[in-house]
Amino acid sequence: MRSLSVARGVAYQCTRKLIRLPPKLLPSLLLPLFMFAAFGGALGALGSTKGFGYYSYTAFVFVFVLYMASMFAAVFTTFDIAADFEGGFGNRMMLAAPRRLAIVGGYVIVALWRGLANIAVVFAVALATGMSVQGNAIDVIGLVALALLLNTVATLYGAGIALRFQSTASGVLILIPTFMLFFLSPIFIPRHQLSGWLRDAADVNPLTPVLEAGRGFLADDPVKVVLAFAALLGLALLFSVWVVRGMRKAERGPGSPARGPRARGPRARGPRARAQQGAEAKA
Amino acid sequence: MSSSSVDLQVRALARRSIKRTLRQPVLVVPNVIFPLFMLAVLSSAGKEITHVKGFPTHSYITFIISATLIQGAAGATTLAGNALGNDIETGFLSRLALTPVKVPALIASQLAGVAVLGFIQSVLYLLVGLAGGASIKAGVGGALVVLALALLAILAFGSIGLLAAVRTGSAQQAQGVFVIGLGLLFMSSMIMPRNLITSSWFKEVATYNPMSYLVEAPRSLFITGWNAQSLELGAGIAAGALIVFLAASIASLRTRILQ
Amino acid sequence: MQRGQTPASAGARRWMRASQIAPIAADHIRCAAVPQLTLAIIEGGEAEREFSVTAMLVIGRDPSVDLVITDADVSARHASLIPLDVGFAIEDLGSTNGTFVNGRRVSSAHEVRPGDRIQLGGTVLEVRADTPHADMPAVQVTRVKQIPALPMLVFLAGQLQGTKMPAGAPVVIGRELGAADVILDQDTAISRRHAAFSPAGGGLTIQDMGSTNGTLVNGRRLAGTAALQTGDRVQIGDTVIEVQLPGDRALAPAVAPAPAPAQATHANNIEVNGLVKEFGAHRAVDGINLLVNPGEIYGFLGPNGAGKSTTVHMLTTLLPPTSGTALIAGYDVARDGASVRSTIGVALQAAALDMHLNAWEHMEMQTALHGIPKAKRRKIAQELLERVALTDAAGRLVGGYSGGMKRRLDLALALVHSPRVLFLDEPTTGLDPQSRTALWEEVARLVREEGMTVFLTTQYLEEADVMADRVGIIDHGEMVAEDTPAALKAEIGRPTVEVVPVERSDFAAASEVLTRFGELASSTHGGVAARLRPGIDDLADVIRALDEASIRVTNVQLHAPTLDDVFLVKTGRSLEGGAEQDASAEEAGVLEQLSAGAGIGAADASR
Repeated sequence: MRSLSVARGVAYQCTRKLIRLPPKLLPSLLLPLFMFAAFGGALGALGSTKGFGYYSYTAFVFVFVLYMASMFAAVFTTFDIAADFEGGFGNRMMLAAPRRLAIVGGYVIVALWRGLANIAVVFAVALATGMSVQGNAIDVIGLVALALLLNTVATLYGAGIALRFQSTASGVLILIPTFMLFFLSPIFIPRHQLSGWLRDAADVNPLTPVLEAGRGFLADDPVKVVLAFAALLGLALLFSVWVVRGMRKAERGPGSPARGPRARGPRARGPRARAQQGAEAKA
Repeated sequence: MSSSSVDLQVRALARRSIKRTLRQPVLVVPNVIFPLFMLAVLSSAGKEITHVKGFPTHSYITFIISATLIQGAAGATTLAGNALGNDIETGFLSRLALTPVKVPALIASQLAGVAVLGFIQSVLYLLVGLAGGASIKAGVGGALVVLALALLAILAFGSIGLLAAVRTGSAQQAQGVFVIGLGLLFMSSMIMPRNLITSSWFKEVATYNPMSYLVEAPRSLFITGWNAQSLELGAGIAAGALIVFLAASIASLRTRILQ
Repeated sequence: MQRGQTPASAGARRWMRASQIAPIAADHIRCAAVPQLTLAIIEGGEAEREFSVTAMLVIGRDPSVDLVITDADVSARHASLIPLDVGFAIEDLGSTNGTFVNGRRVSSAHEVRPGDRIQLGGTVLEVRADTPHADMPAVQVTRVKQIPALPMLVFLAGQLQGTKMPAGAPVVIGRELGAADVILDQDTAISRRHAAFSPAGGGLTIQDMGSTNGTLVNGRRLAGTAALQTGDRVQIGDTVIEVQLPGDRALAPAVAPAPAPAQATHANNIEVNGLVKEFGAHRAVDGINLLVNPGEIYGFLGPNGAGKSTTVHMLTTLLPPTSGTALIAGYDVARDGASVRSTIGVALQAAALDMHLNAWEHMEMQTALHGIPKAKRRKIAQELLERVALTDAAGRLVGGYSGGMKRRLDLALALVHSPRVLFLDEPTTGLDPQSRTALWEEVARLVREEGMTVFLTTQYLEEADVMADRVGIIDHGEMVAEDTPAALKAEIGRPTVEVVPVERSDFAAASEVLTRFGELASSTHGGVAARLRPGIDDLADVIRALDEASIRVTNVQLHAPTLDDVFLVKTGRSLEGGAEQDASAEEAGVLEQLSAGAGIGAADASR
């Protein structure tokens, strides 16, 4: 109960700030929308190439954009973690929380509602531009569930980085790998049309089955659903460990060894001993 | 105040800016690595795109390398914005304001660090691109002009970051501008020539997007050789952006200091 | 009359001066040529007995004494009645529970008069007429008078554990013989005259007499005087006294309850033993020991980089110690972090506030973090914001607050969960004097009225001097001194005289003159200074000596030792003025170049 209270307190603080500063919500939404416009607009011709095999290029790109919007909501929430800890506000939370991992729980809550908001906007924009959805309500729920799981995975990853570095400069270490994860997957052409090292990378990228499952939901042709959820749950578990270790690092403070016996050694003569020696010498 | 004093001021601040920029691997490395990554991904994934009828080159890496350079330049927004934002948040800017240094010198010297780093990374991208199979029709001279255009773009993007930092007073918010810049880059003729964009609205957007011209200027040197119009447009937009945003930064900083 | 051997006294009872009394044979109670008095037992198991006393009488529980009283609280040989030229005196013989005359404990022979009441344990004897009725037998049954019982003080813990004492008259508890009625000299936390119990209208009051460590009543620090009820527990140092008022004597056992396990101790104290913090090869805190008593304000002094904030971070569980232990209210910071955090309130050096939230929102968040039920949050927020005078500004964003307002909000946030121990890390740094004073007053009130223990780190000596009950000084990670400010300064002891000769050439001569009065010290005004020897505290002699040596001076100052002097003696350098610049050395260099490049001067206004 107390952990829930802590998470709620953290979520309250983040949410109040976002309500007060709505422009903070924009970057996580604008970039995916830019991508949607860019890929959908510039590369629409690819939808007509031989072997493309999907019902709509716009819908093809939409899934990646949806996921990006959901993940970026999480990524930008974790920027707030870094900022809170860098500015000392994190100390307030660390001092109050009996179980400090509950603090991360608060940010997870915020990331989820931001993710939902982004998903809603991106969906609205896509539908407004004429994108068609062939799947039914269950399929859409499945797609959104995948997006929200991605959101949580991104939050856990980003939180681990933010807790370790406690600096806004570490934002690039959260943002860039997220970008890389997307661009190493079949985001604007299907996997079978990729070649070379990029194809190899896409084959092992856990985002690939998630994208393909999402496209399957949208096309009313579910594929790799189990693999997609399993991949995401696995990533969530992995990054849960990552964030726990990040919190331990944050609790240990700066300059501490990650593990191993505490430093022991001969105690150096301190200044008081030296001062006394000096006084004795003078006497 | 003598010109030698001004020179001394700018040099002192510029040295600081360079040291600060290069001493932050957490910021520097991703800014250098990410464009290279995008180059690798897009040049691999974009092979299909060269099959589109009328595509100006058979080598997508030749086509996309200029976007990589501009993308790298856009990172200057983050670096400059973060640096000045930190100075504002920590109060160091207030200390600087109490010295005799003039605001234009203070602002301009903040760009020294990003300029040095940006130039180094532009050279790196060019070399990697050439090693990866890109060719430059305008030859060595063209390569030098490419670097000059990249440097101009770096300064322009850096001044955008400075303005964002001065207006928001926050390093974090200044970094958010980079994301918008990246989005605008994707909304340009970055991945497809404007004349081959099938979506009419996107084509319109790309046409009015100044990023398109920033990308097309160095691209012309790679693909077509010397194209005065492209070069003038690209250089003009970069220079214009630099002047406008730098002036705005100076004016905003004067206001902030007086407050 | 012969006086015998002083009875052996327990180590805890040094306040008694047991005189030397020879044992008296039982058949020597009556003596023809001495005054007589009648003694009646009016309370206790032996009530309704009356005796005629004409000679020296030993009273006790042992069957061999003259007057046997079978009261478990009466010692074997408890007291004796000694005939004087006129009348009698009662003297305690080293009893466990003491001998009281009219509620006042007697430490030496005390003359008794008719009407006086002598209490031995639970038995009260009344002194009746000097001359017994001619027909009065040696033993006579009398009617038991209805005499109001006295308030009782039952010592549950401490030096007098197990003692029961009536308080029919004011009783001063203290440490110093001659200054107090009940001497507790083994407890250094007790002041020489610490507190006084006074009967009042059938009840009892307690008053703290300006003690250093305060008097606690039911765990709360006493301010001024308070009325006591039966069952109230008064704590003076380690001594715990339970009050039993007449009429509803609870007869609690005169033993302290079984000690609770150490981990469950909930006193508001801080115990640090051998605390070390290493950051890589750098030892920021090097094995410090300190003890902060409940209800104390402990000032933790030291220059920047001394290890103050690192120590506070460890004590507040923000940093794990490398080695050593620290207990906060009995909870180990390394093992019971969650319990520590629920016990402490912390206002750190950098006010950890969010510029985009207002005070209400901060309160809402903080109360949620501490698990306070939603229904109570608003009320707590209102009370605390009112207490720190932020109610009017509570709706504004914190980004618009002044430094003082931020600190006050930080303090209010630290108090939402009613902590027992409060950590204040340089709470007044950067504040204007008015804000600083307001903060001091609030902290003092918290200690006074709520019995909070406060651990205060500061660079300001004045702050420590004014606020702290005790001060610890840390330098380079080590404790260099710890005591009350007064004691620390007294340890240094001696004032310093400083003179500034008019002529530079007179410096040597001035030094020679001053060495006659003490040892030379460093001068802060470019002159010559000397720490005066004990007994020398008058400038007149110094000035006279300078005059005789024909040394003209522009300035002569005498100043008493300060905490900075303490620091100087302990570490060889001054505490004040040792703060490092905020900017890094590099940035400082940049600033210096910029200032030098165009000449040192004011900022250019023509930007």
